[in-house]
Amino acid sequence: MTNTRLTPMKKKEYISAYLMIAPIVIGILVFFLVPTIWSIGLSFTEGPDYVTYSFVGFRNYASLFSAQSDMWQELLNTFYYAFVSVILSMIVSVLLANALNKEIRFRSLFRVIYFLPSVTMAAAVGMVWRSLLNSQYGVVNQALGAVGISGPKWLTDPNFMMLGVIIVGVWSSAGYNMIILLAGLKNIPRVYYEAAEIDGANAYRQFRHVTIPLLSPVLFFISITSLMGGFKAFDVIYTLAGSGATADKFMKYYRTMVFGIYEKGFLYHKLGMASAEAVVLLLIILALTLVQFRLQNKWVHYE
Amino acid sequence: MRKHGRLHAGRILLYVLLIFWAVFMIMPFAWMILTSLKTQPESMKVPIVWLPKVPQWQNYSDVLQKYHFEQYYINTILVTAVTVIFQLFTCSMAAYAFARLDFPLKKLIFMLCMTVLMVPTQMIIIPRFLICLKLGWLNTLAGIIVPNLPSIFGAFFLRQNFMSMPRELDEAAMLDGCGFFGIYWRILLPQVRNGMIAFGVLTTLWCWNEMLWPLVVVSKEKLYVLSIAIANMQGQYATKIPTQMTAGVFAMAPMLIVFLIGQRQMLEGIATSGLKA
Repeated sequence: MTNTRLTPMKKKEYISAYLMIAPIVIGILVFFLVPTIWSIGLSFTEGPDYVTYSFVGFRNYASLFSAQSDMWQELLNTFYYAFVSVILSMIVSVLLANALNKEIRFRSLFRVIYFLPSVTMAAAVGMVWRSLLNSQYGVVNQALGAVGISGPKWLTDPNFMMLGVIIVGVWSSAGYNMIILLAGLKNIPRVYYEAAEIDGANAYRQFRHVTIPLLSPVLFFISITSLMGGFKAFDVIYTLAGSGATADKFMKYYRTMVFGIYEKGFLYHKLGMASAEAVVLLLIILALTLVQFRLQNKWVHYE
Repeated sequence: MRKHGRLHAGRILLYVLLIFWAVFMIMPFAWMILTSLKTQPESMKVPIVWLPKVPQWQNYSDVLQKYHFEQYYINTILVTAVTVIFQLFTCSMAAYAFARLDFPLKKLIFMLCMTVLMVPTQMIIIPRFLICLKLGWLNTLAGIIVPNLPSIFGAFFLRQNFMSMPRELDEAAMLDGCGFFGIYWRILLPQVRNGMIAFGVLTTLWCWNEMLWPLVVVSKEKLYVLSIAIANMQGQYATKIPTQMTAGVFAMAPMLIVFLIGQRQMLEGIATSGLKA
């Protein structure tokens, strides 16, 4: 191998490149990489305040996974919310995308309307839905009443509280998923449908045997990303639950893992416990990401 | 003939479905706007009174002044503007370097960034809080802004945009004696305009709407951004529905406008890359 000395041109290229990536790379080190490692470290400590800590080994994890821990309820709520809202949102968004992929009038208007909830502040969304779901004067129950159904107490009946959050979740996310699915649908070559038609397949069979299989990589991609979104949910739930003394009684049924981290860390000042829960959340998210990466090749290959 | 009739029925069903969902999407917004103009008793009437008898425009000036939303607006705009401008600049610069330049350890740095991208920011709020505590940034706007400045995601998204530009552009500029920064700034950046708009709109939305981090860093009312002001109002004025809804209009309206302006580029960006809203 020849020992190539850097030409002035190459040298200039290296220096420019480093200068150009420097702000991002330094920022990532300080505000992402260091905090991630720090979080893992903190999860093995406990301290009376924010400044002093002592090493406690796996004690935080032990109490996190003990029978009387809050985390079980949080995990249950988080999984329930994430899975049910993702499934419902997928069903709705597939139907909508399929409908919007046809020759229809005002298509771009529908697209924009469906996307509106995705751009609005989650905290405000939770607040608005809290009054829409009110069991007495709320629009939802009055609408249900109009068709003869007496609506449940969405905000105070433990059996329905998460369902209320799920309705809001689907309302917020269906439009976003629809946009990605619509792009996926556009990539399906027309010839498949033409072939299916020649074979005498009706609209349902075309949807079932052409659209769904060919769309499956995209469906998989958005199910994983929405699932991850579900695990990180906080803002909507925080405002939907309301705050103050009356909310405390019901909080149990609303709390998710991010809420648990926030509460342990900033209301009870237990940084070690909060960090341990954060690590558990990270592991769940990482597992989902790995599944996604393993199957992403399919998605990329698809285009 | 029969086939024609069936097609027709299908069409109608299609439109019914589309319109039903559109109504479901819009109803909360409509209710929020109408209720923001109601009096307190009107907002809780059963059965629903959709239209206020006399529109209470007073609610709007009350929320701005009595509930200090003027101040929250200034804070939110400041936080959003600084973050978006900084991210657009640094992300596109890094994106150009990753897409076009050659440098030692490029692969390693890239992989490192990819790995960090997987870590949800919700998970690292505690160490970030401790960093801000050490730096004396608690209860400052800097504390809200700075930790959110680096965006790996933006760099990756824009890198795709730069990579789709023909290399001939760089080469021609190089022959004209243009430096690397010049190529990025004057030649390529104007070409990736759509990607920049898509990312800019998304960052604006994200920054404006974010609640968890500001909630952690800021407790002084003077430094509230809109999202925490809303959450706080929910607790403090739980029964003042019209006031809450007015606050909701104030918090949502600017982003609806930003979206309507940049919707074409943004929806395209989401469709092609699964940009996270």
